Parts: sequence; structure tokens; C-alpha cells
Amino acid sequence: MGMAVVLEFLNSMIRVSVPVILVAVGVCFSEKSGVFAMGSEGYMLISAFVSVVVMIQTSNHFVSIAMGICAGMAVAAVFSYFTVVLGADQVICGLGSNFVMLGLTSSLQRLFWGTTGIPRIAAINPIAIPLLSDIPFVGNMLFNQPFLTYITYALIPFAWWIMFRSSFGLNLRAVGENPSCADTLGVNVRRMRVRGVVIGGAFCGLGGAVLALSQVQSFTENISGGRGWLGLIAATFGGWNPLAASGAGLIFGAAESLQLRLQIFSKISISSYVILLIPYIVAVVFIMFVGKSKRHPAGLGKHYRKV
Amino acid sequence: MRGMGNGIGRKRILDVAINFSPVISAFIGILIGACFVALWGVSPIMFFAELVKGALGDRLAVGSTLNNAAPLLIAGSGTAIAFRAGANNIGQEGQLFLGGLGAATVSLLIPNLPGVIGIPAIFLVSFIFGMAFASIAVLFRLLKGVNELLVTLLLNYVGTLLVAAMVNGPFRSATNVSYPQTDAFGEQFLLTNWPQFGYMHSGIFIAVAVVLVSGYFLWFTPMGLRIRNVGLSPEASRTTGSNPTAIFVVAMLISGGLSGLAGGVEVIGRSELLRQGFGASLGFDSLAVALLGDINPFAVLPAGLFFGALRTGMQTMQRSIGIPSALLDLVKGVIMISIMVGGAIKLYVRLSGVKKQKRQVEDDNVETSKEQ
Repeated sequence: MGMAVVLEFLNSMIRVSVPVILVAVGVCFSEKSGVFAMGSEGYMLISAFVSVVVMIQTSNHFVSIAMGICAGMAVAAVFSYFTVVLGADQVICGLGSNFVMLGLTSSLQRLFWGTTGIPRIAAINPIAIPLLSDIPFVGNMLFNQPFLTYITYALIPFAWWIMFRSSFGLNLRAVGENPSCADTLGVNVRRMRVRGVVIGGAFCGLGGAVLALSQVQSFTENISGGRGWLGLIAATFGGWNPLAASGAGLIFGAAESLQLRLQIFSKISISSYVILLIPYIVAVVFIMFVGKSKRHPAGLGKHYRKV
Repeated sequence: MRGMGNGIGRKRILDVAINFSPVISAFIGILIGACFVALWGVSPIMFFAELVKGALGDRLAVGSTLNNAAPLLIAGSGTAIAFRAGANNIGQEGQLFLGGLGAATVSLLIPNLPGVIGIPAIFLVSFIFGMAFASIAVLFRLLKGVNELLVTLLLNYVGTLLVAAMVNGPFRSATNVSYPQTDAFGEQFLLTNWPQFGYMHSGIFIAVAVVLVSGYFLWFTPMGLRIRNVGLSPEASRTTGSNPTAIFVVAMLISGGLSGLAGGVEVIGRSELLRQGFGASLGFDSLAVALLGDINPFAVLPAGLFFGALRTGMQTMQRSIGIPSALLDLVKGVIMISIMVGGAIKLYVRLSGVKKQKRQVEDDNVETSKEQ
């Protein structure tokens, strides 16, 4: 009994942390290029909404995930126009875009489905990978997951490779560290930053789609509920390295999974609101221990204007 | 950067127009909201009419507008002080909730306190609770060098959930079980309200006083000058003898305290007991109010009244023509973005003016154009 609970917890820990990890990786791309990713929460919301609507219409997972990613990228593109091209304040614009997305999705939800709520959509069944899932202990945890988790496994090292081993990544980091120097070397700063933000939007969009399709299996008001911020914090305190950021995202996923478990086993007489606090408390404690260990990209948050 | 526009003699039409950028932004926000309601089959004209009617139509509406404006004004002027000092406090929501919790703590734990002491005690405790919550972010900044932006943001969730945990747990009313809330506060703890003025409560007078005092503080006292200097340039302010870290702490604490006070006023003025989610999104609205008021407490006054009216109008509209009040978030977001984009365009126009002038006057001097 005890062992089964632990295995189940580990399995759900991976599943629950996937959206946060995807957002964290997306935030790495945006912030490495020098643009605060305060809009991550909004990208998740719009993508979750769009993917659920498309899922209900088409019943096709791939189409709905693709549309969700596109929605995230579209919002990120508008955001990057305001901040990178026009030079508006990144923090306030990001917060503002979150409010716009929150208002947009909540009102559209009311418009489409009234107060009855959205019908639940079909679950995505976990696929056990034949040999690997038989490995004791970690097999079930890592290789008995929905296909979206496997995509995430592939995306994390790929993101790391892009960022640290490709010329695209070099240019991306260059415009984040020292835009005027990169400009002198012939890198188009504006274009690189727009790309960074839009890639970030794509990852956050995928995260939102995973959250809605695979976990909640529906759309609820403010579905992201702070996961965008947790991803932002994971990226910040993972030093904007996709691998470390994913590790930090896993910690938040574990906290959230623990919270979900505790709510199911309501034998413990703590208020459920105290349990809901767990992920945020973990995040605060996490910040306390990690602190400012990594230097942020030097050009982060600064608008670059060609002279 | 601010001073760079001074050299331009000619004033462009665009430049003049952008000086009204808060008004224009507010207009853009409402306009986009008005276009959006076409989805519900409501014409934009009707949306405007309903909005104005809902916010200012009768005594009840005006009273509700002023009641909505009171916490926004208090928290908004606190936010203005923080932003002027360059302190990125975006945790108003959590601080406001903690302030409400402070008010409940006083009135539920010491129910026999007379009103003469009780109400000031509530103000003091809610101020301190908000301040204490903001001081977490301050401590992280001082001890760990963590930017207060992320910490205050996270603490918003902690604040709202703490209030939820308290009203579901220790403070839960024994008599009312339908909704998680506390027992009604004693009569002596409540602010006076006037039914003949649409149940307007005296919080609005407190709010106006806070706005005026913090405006005076920021613009006409030496401390205010130091705060503004630190916000403009921490390095330069250090050479004039002020300590940017100390100023940051002061600004954060004042801002957190005022957000807490706003929560206290909201609780003892309007809701008269502490409810789960009592002031939801008041804190975020006050952030928008501070920005709309050009980060200046005096200008926060009209901005706060405008947002109070917007909140009331939207809430009424949900009842009258069925437009979800969530639309307020959309309008708020659009307003925030357009203020920032307006500011950016303004700067761009100025800089391109400077650039043109430089090119004319100092055509041969290549060095100057290399400055950023």
C-alpha cells in the first residue's frame, strides 16, 4: 500500500510539473534575449482556452495543441511589438497582457457556455513504453505518462542545445547580454528579441495546452492560477538555463502534486486553503535558499534603441 | 532621458496629444471593451450609456462608486510612492488582503474596545499588517538581493489564501454557514455610512486625506524629494547624501502599509465583516490607478474615481444586461498597456526630434550621436 502511494505520487509529480517546466523553458528563451516574460500567465490562459475550444470542435489532440501554441505565439508577438519594437515597459505591459487574457478568456467562456461550465473533454491516456516502464521504481514514474510528457522530455535538452550550442542561441544570448555589441557584430537585435519572445510564447502555449487538455480536461476561469509565475520563478532561479530551470520546475510540480494528494486524503484536519498555500510557500522558501546566485542577462528589461 | 525633450522648440501635434496619454489610454480601454461587447449583441452606444448609468445614474450608484474608489485611492497613492522610489511593489493585492485580516483581528479578538479607540486601532493594525507583508519582500531584497518584483507577486497568492484559510478556520462565523466569512463586527468598529447618499461611507474622506497627505509628502517634503531622486537615479542620489537602500525600504513599507490600510477601510467601511475574497482585484486595480494617475498621488485622485466608477458600472452591467464583469480585467489590461505604449511613443517622438536637431546643428560631430 505504502509503496503504491509513493509510486503514484512520483508519477503524478512528473505529470503535474510538465506545464510549469514548459513555461520555465519558454521564459528562459524570452529572458535570455533580454525581455522580461511577465506575460507567461497570459500566454498559458489564452492557449488553454483556444486548445479546449478547438478540442471540443475537432476532437483532435494534435490540432488543438497546435492551435494553442499558435495562440500563445500570437499574443507573444503582439507583446514583443509593444515592448521590443516600441519600447514600452516590459513589466507593466506583461502584467497588462495577463489581465487582458484573463478578462478575454473569462468573458468568452461565459459567452460560449454561460454559467453551466465547459463540458469535460476526453482524457489523454498514459502510454507505457514497453521495456523502459518495467524498470523498477523509476520506470513507472518516467515512462508511464501521457505522450505530452515524452514530448517535454525531448524538448528540454533540445532547448538547451539550441540555447548553448547553436549559433542562433549564441546570438540570442548576445542580444540579451550586450545588445549594442551584438548590433555592432551585425546581429539584428530587434529581430532576435522578437524571436526569443515568440519562442517563449510557444513554450508557454504548449504548457497551457498540456494543463487544459491533459490535466484539468476542461477550461476553468483563471485556469493557470499562478503556474505562469511559478515557471517564471523556476527560470529566474535556475539561472535561465533550460536544464536547471526544468529542475526547479520539477520542485514546484512536486509541491503542487503534494497539495493535490493531500486534498484527496482529507484525513488530515488542515484547512484545504492551507494546503493550497503549499506551492507558493515552497516557491518562497526556494527563493530564500537559492537567492540571487546567478547573474541575470545584463540587458534584461532594457529597451535597445539603435542610435 | 526625461530632460532630453527640453531642447525641442517646436511642439508637434502628436506631442501635445500624447500629453493627454492617461485620458487617451482610459478612452482606448473603454473603446475596446465597447467593441468587445458587440459579441453579446450590445451596441457600443448602449454599453457607454449603461456604464455611465450604472456608475453615476442614481444616488446608490454614486455611493457605490465612491465606496469602490476609497480603497483604490489609498492603495493607489501608496503604489505611486513605491514606483517613484523605483521600488517594484506589485503585491498590493496580498497586502490589501492582509490589511483586511488585520481589521478582523482587532474587532474579533478585542470586541469590547470602544469605537473611539477601536477604529484608529483597526487603521493602525491593518497598516502594520500590510507593512509586515511588504517587509518580507524587503528582507529578501536586503538579505538575498532578490528583486522584490517576483516576491511581491508570489505573496499576492499567499495573502489571498491566508485570508481564505482564516475565514474558513479560526475566524469562521458560528452562525452563518452559507459563505465563508467572519461574524459581523461590532457596531462601534464600522465606519459611518449615509443611506441618503447611497450608503456612501466615510472611507472616501479618509482616502482623499491620504491622497492629499501622500501627494504633499512626495512633492513638498525633503523626504519626498529624496524618494523621487532615488527613483530617477540611485547613483546620483547617493552623491547628494541619501541612502538609496534606506529610501527603498521606506517607500516599500509606506506602500505596503497604505495597501493594508485600504484593505482595512474596505472591510470596516463596506463589507462590515471579513469575507473570503472580499476585495478581489482591488489591489491590482490600484496598480492600474497609480499608472493612470501618472504615478502622482494628486493625479491618482481622478484616476481612482474613474476606476471606482468603472468597477461599479461593470458590476451593475452584469446584472442589467448580462455582460460578465470579468470584462473589467480586459479594460484594465488594455489601459495599462496603452499607458506604457503611449509613454514609449512619446519618448520616441522626443528622441527622434533630438536626433534631427542634432543632425542639423552638429552635422560634423560624430561623437554625440554615439551616446545612447
